[in-house]
Amino acid sequence: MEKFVITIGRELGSGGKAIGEIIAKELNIPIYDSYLIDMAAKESGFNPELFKKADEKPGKGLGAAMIRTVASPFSALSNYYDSSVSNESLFQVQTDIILKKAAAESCIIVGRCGDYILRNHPNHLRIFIRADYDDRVKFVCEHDGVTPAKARQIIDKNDNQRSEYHNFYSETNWGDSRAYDICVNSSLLGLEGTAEFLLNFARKYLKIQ
Amino acid sequence: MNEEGKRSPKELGTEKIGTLLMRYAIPAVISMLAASAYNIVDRSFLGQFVGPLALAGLAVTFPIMNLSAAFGAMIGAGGSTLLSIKLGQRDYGTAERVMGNIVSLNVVVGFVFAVLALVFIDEILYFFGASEATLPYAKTYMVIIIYGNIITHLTHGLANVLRVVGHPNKAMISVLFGVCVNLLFDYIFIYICGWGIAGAAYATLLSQTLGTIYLIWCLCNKNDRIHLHSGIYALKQRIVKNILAIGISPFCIQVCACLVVVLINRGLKEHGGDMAIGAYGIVNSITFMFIMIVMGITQGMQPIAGYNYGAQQYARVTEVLKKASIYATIVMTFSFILCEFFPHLCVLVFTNDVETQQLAIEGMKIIVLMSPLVGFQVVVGNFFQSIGMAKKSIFLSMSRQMLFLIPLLLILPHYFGTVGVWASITISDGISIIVAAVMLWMFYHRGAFQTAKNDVGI
Repeated sequence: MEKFVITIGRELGSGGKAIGEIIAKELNIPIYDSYLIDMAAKESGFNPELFKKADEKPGKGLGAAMIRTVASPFSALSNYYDSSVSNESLFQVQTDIILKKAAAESCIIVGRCGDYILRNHPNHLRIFIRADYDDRVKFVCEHDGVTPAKARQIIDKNDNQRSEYHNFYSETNWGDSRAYDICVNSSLLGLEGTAEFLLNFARKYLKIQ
Repeated sequence: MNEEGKRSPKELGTEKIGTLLMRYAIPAVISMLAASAYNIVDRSFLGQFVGPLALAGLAVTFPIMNLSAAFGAMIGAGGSTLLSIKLGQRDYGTAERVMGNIVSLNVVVGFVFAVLALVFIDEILYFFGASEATLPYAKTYMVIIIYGNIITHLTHGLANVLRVVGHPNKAMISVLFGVCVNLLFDYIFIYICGWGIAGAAYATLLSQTLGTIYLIWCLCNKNDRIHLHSGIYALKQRIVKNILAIGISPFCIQVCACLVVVLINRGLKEHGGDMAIGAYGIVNSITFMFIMIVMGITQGMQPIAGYNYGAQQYARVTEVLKKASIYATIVMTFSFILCEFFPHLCVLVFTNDVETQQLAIEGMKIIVLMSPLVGFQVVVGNFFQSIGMAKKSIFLSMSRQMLFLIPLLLILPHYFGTVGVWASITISDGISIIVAAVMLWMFYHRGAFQTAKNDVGI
């Protein structure tokens, strides 16, 4: 059977990861969430390959180029953003890991712009899972053992972070229906029900027996 | 993608550190030297053939140049980061649109800046420290340069793009070519034609125009995966937003740098007159050259430290840091000896005016007092950057050039006149050297080598 990949974007507290885990179990495929991908990236010890391009990093020499008109000792500062181990490099490592996982086997990728990174994968289902705000608050309260006020705070901050991250690294807006194949509100059917629904959808679309 | 300029990464982990550092630092040092040599020759043309007031007039325009460069740095930093992300994703369509947007943004920002600067030119120059005597020089120079502001932006912006898309050598050629052409035109316009400070401006503008044409020609090469063509220039909200998001901090730093120069110029003008500003231009050129050599050494150090840090070969990281610090200290000690004991020689290159010479010598002797150790400070700042601790690196850069300098510049000149201005720079250097030493000590003392520190924060 041809390899397939399912990427799941999700709001914090929507149960997106739990739903993904149910689907993964049913299909008997591995699931990689942001945490696992980050760990893999870190374990690779910032793959030395990364530094292959160290002598042509962005920004390097911008200072040098500017000296011609900016005749001051301060233009040297403009070199500082030329960091050899930056978040951009980390994103590159994560990209490589996600591509490698998806090339090796059928799997589910949760978060980390998987929808964008795997955009050229021929057998790719992009899912976005959201939930009603109150349900998300309830979920976070139970999950993290915090007060509703604190949960709201966490959710709002997380929404910002996830959309900033996604909108920066990919070419679509986080949570925008046009970026996904199916968007679903998990409040309506619950975790099990949503998983079952998505499973049917995935089986039909990806032609999984 | 073109493989030009790439080296095997493996040598970074195995080759002898001393050899590696030489191999990586020497090209960087040479290009830095070329840039500052240009700087010095450019100014000495003005000083020798036009006069000390022209030197002062030129120095008054530094802050405007800084401000314009701030916008350039904003687009350059943001654009090249975004571009390299997209290249890493092999998302070539988007990468081309990013490139097109960089061009458009440079044109738009360059144009708006030019219009505003032209409308308020007198106010701006007076604010930056011009006087009745120096204004004509500063204005003549500035107006010509500002008319070419879009070109200036494009030259710097596109050189950067060319570097990112895999042609660092061509980008380097364009810069060196620009420097040589500029000097040639300086000679023709200032010495032969006698156009004075306007000649210097025309020379700059003309060389940048030629540089831009070369860059555009390189970037239009259809054999490259990524090249300029129609349909990529329309500004896209997402791209512009992302460019600005990254570019805003280098922008702020450059703006602060501009503020520092304004403070220095105004302090010098108030307490020492126009000639003191001209003297600053001279001193700046000389000390700048040595700092640039050190920057070249640190550029050579960066990939070596970064690679070995990534490969967890910490002994090699420490070794390259030590070697770079030693080389930098040797260079800066040489500058100390030269400026402290043979100041006349340095100043003579720029001007024959006795008053300016004396002021420059006075300033130089004070400014270089700390310089043997400044190299260490710069190396440490860049070291933190190369191992991914950007915040520490920014803090160290800021500490030397702003954090301590701005308050000192606001206070000392009131009590000590021009000596106060020069001493502010020296004292700020001194404090920041101590800060760097403490931060490095803490880095080693706390065993920072064990922890990873690159959380994206999600």
